[in-house]
Amino acid sequence: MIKIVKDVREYSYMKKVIILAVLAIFIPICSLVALSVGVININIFEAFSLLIKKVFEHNPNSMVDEVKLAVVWDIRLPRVLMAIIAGAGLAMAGIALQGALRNPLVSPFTLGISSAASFGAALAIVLGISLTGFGPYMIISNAFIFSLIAVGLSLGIAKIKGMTQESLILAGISMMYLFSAMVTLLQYIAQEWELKALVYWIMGDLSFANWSRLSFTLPAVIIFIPIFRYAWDLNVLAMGEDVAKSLGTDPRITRLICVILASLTTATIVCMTGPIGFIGLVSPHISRLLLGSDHRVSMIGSALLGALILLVSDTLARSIIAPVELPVGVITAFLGVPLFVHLLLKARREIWR
Amino acid sequence: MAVKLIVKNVSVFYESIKALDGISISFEDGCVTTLVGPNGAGKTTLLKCLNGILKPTVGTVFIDGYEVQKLKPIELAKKFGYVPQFSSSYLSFTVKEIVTMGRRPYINWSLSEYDRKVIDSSLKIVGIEHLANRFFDELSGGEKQKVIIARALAQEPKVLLLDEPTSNLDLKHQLEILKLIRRLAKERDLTVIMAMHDLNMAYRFSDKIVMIKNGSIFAAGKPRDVLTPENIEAVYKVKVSIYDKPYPQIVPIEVI
Repeated sequence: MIKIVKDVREYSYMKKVIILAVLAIFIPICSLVALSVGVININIFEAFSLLIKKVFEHNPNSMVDEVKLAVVWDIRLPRVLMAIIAGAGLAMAGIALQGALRNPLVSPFTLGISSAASFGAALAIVLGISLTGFGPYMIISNAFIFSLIAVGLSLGIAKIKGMTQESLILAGISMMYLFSAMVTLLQYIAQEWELKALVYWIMGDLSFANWSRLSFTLPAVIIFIPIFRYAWDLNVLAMGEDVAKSLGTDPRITRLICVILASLTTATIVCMTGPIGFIGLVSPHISRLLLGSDHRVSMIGSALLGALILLVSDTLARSIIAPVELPVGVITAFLGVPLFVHLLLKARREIWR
Repeated sequence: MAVKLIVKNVSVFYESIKALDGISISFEDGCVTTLVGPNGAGKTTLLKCLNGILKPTVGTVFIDGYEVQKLKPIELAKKFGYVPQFSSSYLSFTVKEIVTMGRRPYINWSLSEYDRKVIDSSLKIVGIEHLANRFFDELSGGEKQKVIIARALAQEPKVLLLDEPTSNLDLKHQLEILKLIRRLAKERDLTVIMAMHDLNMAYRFSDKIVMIKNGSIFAAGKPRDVLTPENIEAVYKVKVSIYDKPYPQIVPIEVI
């Protein structure tokens, strides 16, 4: 790992593609491990054969352990896939926003999405108010809608100031404080059990993952794919607005498209999982340390790393002191920070300025 | 291919301040034209109007008969190379990656064999092949400037715009860069337009000087006709003497 970081600038494009392929291979491997870990012990091969049987064989009389199949297929697999989708989506949103706003401290939550989603959830949990939806979907729809309201307000304020990166970041941060304050207010008036539910939601959590939620979340990552067309635009934008223009990129359009797509992705994920921090901030940095700054490579790397970090973190979160589950956000930080600091210290020099 | 760059009656207002005031001028290919004038005269503003980074409030810039304001950014990027006064990136790119950005107007994702050839020859003509795998921000000011010129050349432009290309460089790099720019103008039939403060260097390395005062053209023509003590006195409010050995040398005497 250390050697990789030292030589990143001499890497050919092909070598970077190989590193990406290696990262990609880790995802199914880690997924199989994740499927086998839990209260009911199922070994990796058994988990694998259960999956194969479920997918390819539709013979109801075959010798399959129904309980184990249910655990793997209905409980663990959706959760594993949710971790992969959410991790990849947040990490892609993070690197696109850092690039579009030319700021390494930006995360998918900079434009106020996390606190706005939390406010939406709080509104549903504490006051039972929902803009749309009913039952279990009250929280989800509220969180999603308020995320988009926060981003819309940030964009609206920034538009008045010419959509500059500074105005967008400052508008986003003010939205974040506004919605946090409102969450605090709701927490203050909440009943004890409501408060507990709300705090748990705000921590971020993948345990609610099921197939139907997954089908709502998958589009989040798919709508994001067009952003790869902007990889070169994000590269030249790093050199400044005038230079980007002189190289044929319109900074305002690039910024707008990146912000909108990244926000849609983030909102779709966060409304399902709650705000899982850290992934969207740090995966882009780890990716650039490993693969260099070219967004063609580092965006894909960021997505793969985000998926891996969240998958491994969630597996640890539910197995370290099983059957008690730890909040996954805590583990992502415990796991990601040492990795990040290690790369930071061992890299010959910092990859961003 | 000869390029025709014509500026017609261009004015630029920043809020209520007039940065350019009815500029009309045409530029010839294979020539090095230098814009001189005091700070705030409008040199940079004029440069940025030429390749569409800035939109003139009034007036039009034509390149080969097309209105610059109506061309797509990507079309402009194939015609104009731009070298800003300072270059920095918030991300660390290698020299090769930065020069590759010059191919941005021509590519969507990956590079063709031809793109690679252009990048290599751009590195070579500027003389920085040995820096290809270095990080841009660990280079010296002079090396950085060469990298940015190589990037501009990778755009295969017809016009090269440079904003104070030598203002932060030591003597050796100043000479190297200006000689390189002259050579490029002649060899590649490039129209070179640069803004510069150093009147001595401008005198020595330009085919044509455009003297700007308060957003208008005060004088334009051959260095020897424009950089006269009278003109300099009128534009800069400084009394100068001019000696001419071995190269023309303008020595400031006192502020008027």
